[in-house]
Amino acid sequence: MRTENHFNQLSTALLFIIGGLLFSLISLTVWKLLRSNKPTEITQVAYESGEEPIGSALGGFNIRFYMVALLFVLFDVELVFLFPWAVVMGNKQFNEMSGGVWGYTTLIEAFVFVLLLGFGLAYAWKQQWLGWAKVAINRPKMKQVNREYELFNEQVNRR
Amino acid sequence: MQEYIQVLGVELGKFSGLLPELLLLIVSLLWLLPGFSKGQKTNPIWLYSLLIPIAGLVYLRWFSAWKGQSLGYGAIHFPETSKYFYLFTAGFAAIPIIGFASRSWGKNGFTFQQGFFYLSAIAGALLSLLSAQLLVLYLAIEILSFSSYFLAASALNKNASEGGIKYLLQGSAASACMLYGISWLYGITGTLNFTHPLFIEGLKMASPFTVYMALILVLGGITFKLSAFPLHVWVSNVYEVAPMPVVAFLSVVPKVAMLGVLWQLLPAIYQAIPQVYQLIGWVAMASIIVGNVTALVQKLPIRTMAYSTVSQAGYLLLPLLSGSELAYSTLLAYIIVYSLANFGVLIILENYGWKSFTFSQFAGMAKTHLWPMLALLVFFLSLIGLPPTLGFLGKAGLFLVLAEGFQALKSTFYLWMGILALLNAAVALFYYLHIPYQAWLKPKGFETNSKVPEMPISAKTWWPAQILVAIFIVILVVGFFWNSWL
Repeated sequence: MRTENHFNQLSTALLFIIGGLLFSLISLTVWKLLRSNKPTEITQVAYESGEEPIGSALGGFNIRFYMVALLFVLFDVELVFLFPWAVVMGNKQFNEMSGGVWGYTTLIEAFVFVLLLGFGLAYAWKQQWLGWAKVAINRPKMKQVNREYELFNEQVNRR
Repeated sequence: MQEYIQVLGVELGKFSGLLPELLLLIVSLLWLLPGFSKGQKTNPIWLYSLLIPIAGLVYLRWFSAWKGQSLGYGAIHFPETSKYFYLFTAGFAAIPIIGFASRSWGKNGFTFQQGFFYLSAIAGALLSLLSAQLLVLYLAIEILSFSSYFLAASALNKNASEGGIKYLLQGSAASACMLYGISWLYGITGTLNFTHPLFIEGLKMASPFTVYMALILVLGGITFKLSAFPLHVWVSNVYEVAPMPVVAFLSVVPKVAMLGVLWQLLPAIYQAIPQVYQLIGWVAMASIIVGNVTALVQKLPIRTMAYSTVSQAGYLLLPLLSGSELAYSTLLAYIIVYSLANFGVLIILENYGWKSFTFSQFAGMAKTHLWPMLALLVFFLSLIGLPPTLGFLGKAGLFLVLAEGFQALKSTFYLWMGILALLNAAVALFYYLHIPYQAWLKPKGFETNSKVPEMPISAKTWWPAQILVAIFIVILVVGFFWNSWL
């Protein structure tokens, strides 16, 4: 009995490992298919969310990531709420006790919850709050300097 | 657990009793739908569309049914004493809609987003009045709070976001305290339902110190919405940055709802520990004194109004010191008196473009604006509580309640409360009469040639004028006849 339990828990861990591997493989493949391939010095630098990989670890973080973080937290918490819902509410005994009402109630509750969040997300999307906040760049107005910028960009693109 | 689950179907069927409020929450989502199309411009006339769900709600709840049956395993109840609080909450929420023109809601006028948050704030306030369970109460207050945070920042400029964020941070701290206090009460009593006999029994058994701690934490969340003393700091900030209709809403509707909540919650606690009334008394007295003293030293009328509501919140708490019939009717009367005069002052300040005036800019205004100044004088007299106006009834009622409490309990606490409240009513004379003093007694100075454009009430915005006249008549005429009849 005891060994069986151990085996069961190990198999869960195995499932997690396989799932993790699959997840990373699939996402890498999808990115491979989707992204454009222009190898230049700048695009080949390893990076994480626009942060410089080399330098002080205490560097400032772009404030515009706040929006991403906020959305992540929102939907992360949503998922945290859905786990107990799936485990506790999907109780066969309770369902039988209440004569089938339990199942429908919990299902509808979860749907209302997810739909409301989805409605909010769609609204925010439509209001263009999810977009990367645009910052007005004050380019120098002198012609010569602008020409230099263009030359530099061309050089980078050629490489 | 088993007996709860077996009656799940029956309990769900009872939820039709909560249909009006649930409908309001669902219908409020309709005001978000225009956001899905490209055009964000609203017609000023859409502002009045907010009245439809409010009227529907009052009709469904008030004229068709006030069911006594509790639902959700006793988490929602419909006590008879909450009936009038309910009506006042919904009714006073309608006045800022008709009392202010669309342009008062922000730079581009009223927006549909504001409509959504306005309606959900009302729904939250009403649900909090109906909740008999602390967690449901907390959720209802959160619905009210989150909508208020957006409304306060809905002018969408730099100052408004700053004020809104401050309001949000203080509010989050207060609601966190409240949640912590609720967990204490649950730990002490083993139930969240404050109408349950177990709740009172549990409070009696526990050590008073623990109960006081938990109560202070819970009251923190409630006094924040009530804008009473320990958590009143947000008021002046919000008054300065928020659009005037929102200010009018926030200064009345959450107060009425929270007073209704306290009226349900406090009897249970008084039953267990009668000395708790002293706690409420201290909160009330502290907000009266702090609000008054801070209002005295303000330079801007709008900030004076902000701090004066803090002291008014203190006066509104005084009837809660006792649970008698007289206290109940006095509380309701004082809510009407305070709300009407408060709405009147804010409507005049906004519609004549005097929101950001300093006191000295009002000098000699009575000659150029006789009627608005006369109305302001009456509203201020009513807020102070001087005899010819309706305000006197409210204040007189408060002192009667305190006298009754003194007689019943023979506690000098009530006596001191009465004396301090009376003294503070005299202090209120100075700051409330500052604008009328400048307007009626000071000569028109050079400073009055301000560049602030005047926005007189025109034929286009006839609703504000009407509501103003109505409030004026109620306060002066009704007050006069009622006083002489007494």
